[in-house]
Amino acid sequence: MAITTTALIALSLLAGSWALRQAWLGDRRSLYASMAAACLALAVAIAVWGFGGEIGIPIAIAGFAPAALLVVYLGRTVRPPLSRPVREVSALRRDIPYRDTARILASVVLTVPIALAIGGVLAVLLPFEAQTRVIVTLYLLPLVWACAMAWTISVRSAKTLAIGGAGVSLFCAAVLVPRLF
Amino acid sequence: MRWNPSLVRATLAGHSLLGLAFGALIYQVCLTGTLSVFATEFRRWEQPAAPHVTAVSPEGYANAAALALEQPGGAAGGRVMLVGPKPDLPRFEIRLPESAGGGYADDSGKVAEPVHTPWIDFVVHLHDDLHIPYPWGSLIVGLSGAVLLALIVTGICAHSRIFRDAFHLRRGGSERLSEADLHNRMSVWALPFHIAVALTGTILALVWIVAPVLLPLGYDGDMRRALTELVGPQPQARETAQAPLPDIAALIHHVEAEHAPAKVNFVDIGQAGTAGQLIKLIATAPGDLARGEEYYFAADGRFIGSGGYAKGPAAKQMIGALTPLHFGTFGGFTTRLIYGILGLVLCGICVTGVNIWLIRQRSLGRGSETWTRVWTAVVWGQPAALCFAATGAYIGASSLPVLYVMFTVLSIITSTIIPPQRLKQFLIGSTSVALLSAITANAFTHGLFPADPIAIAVNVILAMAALGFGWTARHTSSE
Repeated sequence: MAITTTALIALSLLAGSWALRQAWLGDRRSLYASMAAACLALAVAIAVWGFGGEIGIPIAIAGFAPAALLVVYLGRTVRPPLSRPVREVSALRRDIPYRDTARILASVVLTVPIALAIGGVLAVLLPFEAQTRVIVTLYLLPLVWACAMAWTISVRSAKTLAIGGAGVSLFCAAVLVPRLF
Repeated sequence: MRWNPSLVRATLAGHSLLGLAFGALIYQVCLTGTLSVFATEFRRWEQPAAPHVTAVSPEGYANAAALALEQPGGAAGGRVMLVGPKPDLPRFEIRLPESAGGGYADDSGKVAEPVHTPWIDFVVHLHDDLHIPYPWGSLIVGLSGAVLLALIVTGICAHSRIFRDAFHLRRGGSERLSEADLHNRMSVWALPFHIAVALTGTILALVWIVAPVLLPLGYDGDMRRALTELVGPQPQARETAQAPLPDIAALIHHVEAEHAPAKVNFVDIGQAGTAGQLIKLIATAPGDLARGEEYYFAADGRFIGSGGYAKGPAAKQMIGALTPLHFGTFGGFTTRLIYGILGLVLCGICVTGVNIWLIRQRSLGRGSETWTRVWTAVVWGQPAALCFAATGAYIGASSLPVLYVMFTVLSIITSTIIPPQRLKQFLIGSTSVALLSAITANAFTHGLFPADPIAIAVNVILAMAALGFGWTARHTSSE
């Protein structure tokens, strides 16, 4: 039973991914888009029917990635290798190494206290009971840290960085300091 | 849809910097994580002669607990963990972390042989904390997860043609375009997996490091309540007087009757055989995303409460789902296979990401042969080092981490000796040889046809992988 269900889910996911690609190619877009949506919904429905809602949905979501990647791979275009290297224009300006090192360190190290402070604020302010507040914060903390890292490393101006960091720190301090003392 | 060009430029620069700085670490964590997904199969491969137990009766658990306490220098006052069999790991394991003893037992709870799975233990440990003492190892692994999340955020912001190029995969032609297509397609289509694995991995690695900050704030300083609500009740440390175990079989019967079709497959006794002991039973039911529901009993067998990981509040269920979502254990072998494939995809994303940067630098006339060599040594040296460590485990190497570091350093030194064109070929070939040596060592130790058929299947798959690596080495251009 499990093997049949798995095979049906795989087939639906493959059909859905194929239809998505056809829609992307542009030929009868709405027809293929509807077909893709139907096939993917069917895959989720079969997974939920076969394995229950709690694990059926994650199974369908996990299975979609290899199915889509297989469709992408089968639709690849193979071109002959270039006979001479192409001179390409960089999208990045050439930074001096110490500046890059400083940006990496700033994005990784400076964001730790900021992320922890935001986590503390969330653990205090989220409108749930204590247990839920802490667990939701635990889930949000890596995302907050990652977004802080992404922003810090992408921001070009030290002034923006300083103003942003100071603003967040002041807000967190305003929330947390009265609770600590 | 097009992103703002200045946002794209800025985030692409940030994406490149983060990727370059942490590419090797993330690749290593992903590679060992991919192997860890199949830890149960590798455990059976390393110890195929251990007793094959498909089910343990409540009386079997009770007997195992009693035997653990009776052992000379036994577990009294310490922790006794009885890990029941699962469909993919038909073993009954007795764990006594604070005393010698324990091992794989038969279904009556009598220990037959100690657990001896050094290689997969080494790999899992490498994935968890890089064999670096707490908290630094966990911190570095947690950092790699957070950086991976940051790379996902910057990658999405930098990918201005995310929908327009959704199915474009151009191979051949411009090397950079070819690598970029592969990098972007693998990143975008497996995005939910990447986010789930990075998020849960970061939480698992950092939970006990950030808890001292979050718990006092969330619970207004009431740490006792925080620990009871989040971790469950703890043994009474002051109650150290000897006391008999409660009727564990009756407790298991009670839980299984009350919560059918759930089956108890883990018994954890804290401060065993004392008046302060605490019995925790974990029961799993089909269809649960959580790894199991916990039921707590006091020293006298009185029911204290349940953990709520499977049937409790949504927040507790989120905690219960962390490990299954990270390792893909929620849907049997099929989901683990999908996780294995997507784990390799994640490794491929790390590799192609750095490759794109190296190719771009080369095309701008700023290429560094040293960094190209070192990156090749990292990418292809790691599988070889891990496989040679497996052989080392069979021939009784005293320290697998040292052996692994030695092979890793050796592969990097090799990159300075062997011409760069031949380096990749050499390291892929080495991985093939390392795999064959691991299979040979396994066959010498356990015979060609060990008792556990999974061990044979693993050997066959490893042999196919060795052939695949050998074929790739032979057909890798040395030009």
